[in-house]
Amino acid sequence: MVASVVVLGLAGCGSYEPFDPPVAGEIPPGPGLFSGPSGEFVIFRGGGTVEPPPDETETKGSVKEGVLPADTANRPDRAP
Amino acid sequence: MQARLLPIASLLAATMASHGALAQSSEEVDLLRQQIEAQQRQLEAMQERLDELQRQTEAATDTAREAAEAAAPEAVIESGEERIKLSISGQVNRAVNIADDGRRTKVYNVDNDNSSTRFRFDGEGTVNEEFSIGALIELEVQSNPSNEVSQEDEDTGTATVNDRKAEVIFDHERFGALSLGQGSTASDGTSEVDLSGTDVIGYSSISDLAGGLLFVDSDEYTDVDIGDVFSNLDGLSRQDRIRYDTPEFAGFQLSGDVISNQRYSTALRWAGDFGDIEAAAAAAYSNPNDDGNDYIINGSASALHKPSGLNLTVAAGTQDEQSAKTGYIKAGYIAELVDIGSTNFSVDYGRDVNFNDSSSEGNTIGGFAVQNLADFGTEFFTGVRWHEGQADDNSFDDIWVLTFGSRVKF
Repeated sequence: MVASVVVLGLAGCGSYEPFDPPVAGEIPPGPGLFSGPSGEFVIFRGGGTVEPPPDETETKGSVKEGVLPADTANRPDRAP
Repeated sequence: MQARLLPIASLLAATMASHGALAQSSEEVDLLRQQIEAQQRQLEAMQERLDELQRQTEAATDTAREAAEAAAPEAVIESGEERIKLSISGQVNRAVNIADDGRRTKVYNVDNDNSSTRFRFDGEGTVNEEFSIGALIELEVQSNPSNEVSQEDEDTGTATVNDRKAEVIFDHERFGALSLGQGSTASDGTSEVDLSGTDVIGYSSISDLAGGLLFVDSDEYTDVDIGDVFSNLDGLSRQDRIRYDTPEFAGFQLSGDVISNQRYSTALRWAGDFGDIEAAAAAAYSNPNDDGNDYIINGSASALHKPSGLNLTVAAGTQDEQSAKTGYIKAGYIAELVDIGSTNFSVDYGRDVNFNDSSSEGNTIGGFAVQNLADFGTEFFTGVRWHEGQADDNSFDDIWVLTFGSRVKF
């Protein structure tokens, strides 16, 4: 009950910013010893340019790096 | 006469001396000009040599680059789709438990079940700016799980591979996420909100770290272990289910699922950052559909004051079966003592009743420290936990567990 009141009180504050809390028991976000700052080994990654559809004349299968949207490229863990 | 000639002689002498000085000055100028011209020639020669060396360096660099490109292996795995990503991540989490059960003290080498050793494959395809499709497989590899080893089974044998998650996720920014397969239920983790940074060694799930250790009564091992007396009632854990999560609104997110065997759970989560304070909370209602257990109600909350590092965590829950109840509180301090990463401290207290039988009771106190090596994905942890248990109208000897270990995210 007290916790609910505190939560609702804090939620009503105007200076609220979104925040993804760490999930106990899960692989923590952040760097990995071998994988570096991203914390994961990317086996392959596409271009991620979602606005224009892929040009049929482009060569398929080329490895392109680092242009996925930031929120998906370095997402520490999926929510569910 | 002699007096008249003296000034003339002096004038002649002065004139001759002046001509001599002029002649000497002209020679010096010529000499300097020659030296300058010689130095100019040397500079030009050096410049040519420098140009030649630069050309050779550039040629060597090009050659080396071409050689490296020629030697570099072709990408073994390629994708024909441009908007996808597949990654691998994981961790190894090992610990040593030194446990005094009142009868004897033993050393156990364990996999820390607070956050077990595992690896995962995470794939994601971005359909458009709002919609993505994900596939996740996460496997747990545990040798001597800390919640299973006991005085009578100190080595549980070859490591086992368990499926933690195998699910597909359809995530829409405005309509929410739908998850299908084995994974966290909506209620999973709702008793474990914890911002102390010490959950790797101590958190509300008391039985994860040494849950298999048997209580001792009258110098004999009983059939009651720590895991029988303590539970944080963390919803329905991971199951085969279909789960839906709403989009976040003002930090709130509502979740629900339908699980095999006529079970379900629903949860409300909230998290917010208010500058100096980070806070998070969760609450859940679950139907485990067990005989005599039609519901579990549980929740937890945690807040961190960032400037001071002080934090507070609470958790509580109850279930239908035997009216079992759990309560937990933790106070923590996150310090920046060294440059390599934060040093986190916490102390906690937990009390669980009626989980083994209607007379069972467990009390526990713990103290923990975690040192982060932030740039290397590594944590070192140590701590001690006291367990007091009673069940079947018997009070058992206390169990003390001293733990140290390390989690390395690779």
